[in-house]
Amino acid sequence: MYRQLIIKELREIWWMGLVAFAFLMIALWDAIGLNLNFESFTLVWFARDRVPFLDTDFVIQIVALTGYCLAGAIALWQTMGESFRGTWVFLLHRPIPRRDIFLVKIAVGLSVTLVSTLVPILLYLWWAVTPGMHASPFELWMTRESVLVWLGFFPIYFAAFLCGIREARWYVSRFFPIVPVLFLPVILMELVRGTVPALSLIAASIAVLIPPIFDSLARRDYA
Amino acid sequence: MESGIIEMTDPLAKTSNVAISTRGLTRCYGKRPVVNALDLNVPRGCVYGLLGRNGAGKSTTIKMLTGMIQPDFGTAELLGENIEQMTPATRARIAYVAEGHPMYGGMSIVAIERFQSSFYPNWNGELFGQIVEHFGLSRKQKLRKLSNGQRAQVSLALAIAPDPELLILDDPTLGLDTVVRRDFLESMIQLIQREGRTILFSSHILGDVERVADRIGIMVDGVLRVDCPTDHFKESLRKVVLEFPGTPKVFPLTEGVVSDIAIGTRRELVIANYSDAHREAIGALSPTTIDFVEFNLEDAFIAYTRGDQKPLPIFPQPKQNNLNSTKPETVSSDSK
Repeated sequence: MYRQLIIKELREIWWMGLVAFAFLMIALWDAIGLNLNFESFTLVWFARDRVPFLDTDFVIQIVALTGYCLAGAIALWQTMGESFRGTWVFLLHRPIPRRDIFLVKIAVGLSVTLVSTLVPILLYLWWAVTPGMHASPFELWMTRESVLVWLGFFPIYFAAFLCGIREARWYVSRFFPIVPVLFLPVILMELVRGTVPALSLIAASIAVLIPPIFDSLARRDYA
Repeated sequence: MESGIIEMTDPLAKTSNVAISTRGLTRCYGKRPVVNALDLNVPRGCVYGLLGRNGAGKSTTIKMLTGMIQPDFGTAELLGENIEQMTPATRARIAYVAEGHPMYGGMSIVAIERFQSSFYPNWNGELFGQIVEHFGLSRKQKLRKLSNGQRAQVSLALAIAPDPELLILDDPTLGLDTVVRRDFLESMIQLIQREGRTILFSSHILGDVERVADRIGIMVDGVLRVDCPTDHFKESLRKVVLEFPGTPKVFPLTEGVVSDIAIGTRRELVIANYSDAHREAIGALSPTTIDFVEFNLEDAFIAYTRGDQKPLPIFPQPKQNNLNSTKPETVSSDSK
């Protein structure tokens, strides 16, 4: 039954992951200089000549931002999509704990975001570590900041998920939880120094968002 | 006429052998109680029709029973288990068809069957196939491409194939044409009732309810006003049309009087549990004629839930009773 739930969730969001992945692959080709000689196709809004991972580069400018958008879109689709289609009542009558249904949703949503964005990062990393590919030194520690910023999609996913399932008096106020989380990437890039503080901040953000999610799923009406 | 609305219950509802039991179930939207202190008992093996006008609280009641809406007060038990602590095992014994038959449009019938069957150990794939075949549906069809009626049929098949002990349907025939509706209901009854299962369904189509329900409950403004066998309800309500030479005299009793409307020289009374006291009070008014009108369920329901609402002023005052489609049966007061 859990397999069917996973398949159902994948069936609904795989295309979002695919679109993001395709976009990132095009951006990746462009970032590593394999733009197939289509100069007009070059994504001019990030610098190709920077040091991989170290400067604000492909990962932060493209992958992380795409990951944030993808995480938010998937979480909203998984929650508000059920509301718009009126399918909560069908889904939640499944004879398994309601908590499990939501855990599957969250696991699948995060996995799709993770895979869609991680694969381009790994390919970019492979390109960066391959000698002769670019005219700059490279060591693995240089990936730290970019990866930490990229990981900011986790709290954004949870914030969007909360926005999608919480009840609010107005539609706009329903989206309040995502507002503080949107500052997280900036904080990760500009204010937090060190892996442990950054990971702690991400973990704390998630820890703050999870209780209201499970509170909402237990208490809200699915009418 | 609040005093005219009386409880109609019978001892069957008080037995312990109930599939659905609620005690003081209440849900408010804002300060307005949509379902107000609902005490409902649905005996096992019964087909129970939950009736009420729009906004009477039927859907809210069903959604509370299935755990989709949280009650503000009160408790409910399905198959002996409190709805707030319902285990997956008990939920697997209960089928729920929600209003509008919501399903995943991107799935085909095969895919939704695969999805649904994975949750139910007692899934009867053969029965599902027979139902789908009976309705002439192709398993490869996407749900979003099905008509309302076909989606209802798939919903029914999905609900019945797990062999549920209790089937809860929220206005299952809403939006279906007459033929599909009839087919849907008859299939539902054949498939479920042969096993002695319990069905609770709400409906706006009184003819459907009359055809299939053993018992009915009528909700008025969130309150369950009637809970009795269907025939008992029809027999309990009586419309009496009194004709006077001039202005109609005031009917002195209030007990049991559901509605009391004076139209021209006529007074139309709808009385629940017509008794000797009513007969004597009518006799004392000395009307020139007394007509007793037989109700079908729809007439009875309308009379019961409409109360004292008068005909719209844009319509001319009717010479004959226009509340029902059956011909009034005229009997003398003496013969009653």
